Amino acid sequence: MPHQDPPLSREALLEVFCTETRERLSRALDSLQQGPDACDYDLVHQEFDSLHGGARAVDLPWLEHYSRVVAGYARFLRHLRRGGQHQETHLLLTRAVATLVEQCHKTPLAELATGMAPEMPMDDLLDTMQNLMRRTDPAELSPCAHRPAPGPLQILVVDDSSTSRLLFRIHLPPEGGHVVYEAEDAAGALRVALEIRPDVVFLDYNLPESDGVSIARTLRAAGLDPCCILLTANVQQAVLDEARAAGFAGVLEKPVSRDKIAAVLRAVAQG
Amino acid sequence: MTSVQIGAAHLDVLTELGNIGISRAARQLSQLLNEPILIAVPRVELCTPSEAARHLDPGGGGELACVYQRMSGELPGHIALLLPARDTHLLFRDLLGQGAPLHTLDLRAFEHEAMTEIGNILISSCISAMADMLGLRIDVSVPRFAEAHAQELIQDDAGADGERVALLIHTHLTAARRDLEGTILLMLSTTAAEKVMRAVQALILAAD
Repeated sequence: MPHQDPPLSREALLEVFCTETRERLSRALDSLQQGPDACDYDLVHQEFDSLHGGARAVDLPWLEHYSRVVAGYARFLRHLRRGGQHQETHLLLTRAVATLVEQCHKTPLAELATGMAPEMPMDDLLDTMQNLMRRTDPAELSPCAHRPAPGPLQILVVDDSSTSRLLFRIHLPPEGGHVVYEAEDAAGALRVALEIRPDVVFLDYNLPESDGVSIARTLRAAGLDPCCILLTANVQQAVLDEARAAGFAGVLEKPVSRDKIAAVLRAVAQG
Repeated sequence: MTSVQIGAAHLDVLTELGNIGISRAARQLSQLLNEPILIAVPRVELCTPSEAARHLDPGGGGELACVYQRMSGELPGHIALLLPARDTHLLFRDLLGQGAPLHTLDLRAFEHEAMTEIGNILISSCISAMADMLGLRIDVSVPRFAEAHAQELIQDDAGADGERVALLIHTHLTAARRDLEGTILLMLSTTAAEKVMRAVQALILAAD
């Protein structure tokens, strides 16, 4: 007869789970405490995603609920632009996780598993975080949250210079079968984008009465979610930082060439 | 003579800044024309607008093509790319040689449009290199194109000599098909020019 280990008791499962949980919480908090710029939100998301599954297995509904929210929140933060609100929400998340760690030290999880939810200001923090998620302007989400589907892309080029638009068409690699549409100003960009729902939008930085960053925000506020690429020869660091903060997925430096466009489109396809 | 005075060390730094800026611009021009471009070490001058006009057109007869952009941010003023007008026609012809489908277009109007975009690329490349080196943020407006004599261009742009300082970066570009004499002109208020000098001074101190 093959030897079979007896199934673990709930107490034994809890013991393993508690050890893992302490390690997971510690890794997540360490990363969060590195600050909004250095934090590895993917790691935080993974730790709480695993915690969520474990909490369900050992029947800890309050922790299951909490972990699901924190995991979702970490994923959400990854897509938030690195602006003032990002810092504020990062601090909230850090405080929430730190509170959980502190409470777990005061009252071991195994004791909490008797069925009573811990007494801690968790609900307030969760409410605050969920409200923030609802309040957040979708325009602040990364335009690259959704990778374009494989295949020919619908591309919109927004530039007031007809030369620039023409050079883009001349240098666009033909092998992808991509379709290019053009607009020369903000109003035209919105009109064409609503009509074709582009996968990728190349936006000139300097436009009469507008700029590429504002147009990207307008497109997203209109419910469109294209991957936005800044099209400029002005590659000074301050401009690149602004584009990154505004959620641009990349920069195509003028003058464009076939190689440069191909590299950007490859990066877009890889997310 | 301008109200902003500079020493040899400052001029040396400005020349290097100009060299880096022009080099980046030349790299972009090389990509546009699909041919190598050699640049001579630029000559940098800080002078009054009137002196700048005389430097740009010593004979007083040649017409210049000018792409200019307003600067804002930490360095308000104007920046312009100036080329002899005859050279821009030839440059445009070089560009056409790449097979762009332009035969149905009004070539003269398109030449101005194309030169505006080329000027925009060269100015942006140059100013972004200089901004990063100086640690200043410089925004530029949409570009405009004009053809006129240097005196007219500078008069249109500048106020009284005492209030404005011209920073000229002259260079000689050698391409396979032709040579070009080009100048980047920064027209700054006295306050803005002094800010440049403070940034240059900081670079000198950092290097010591």
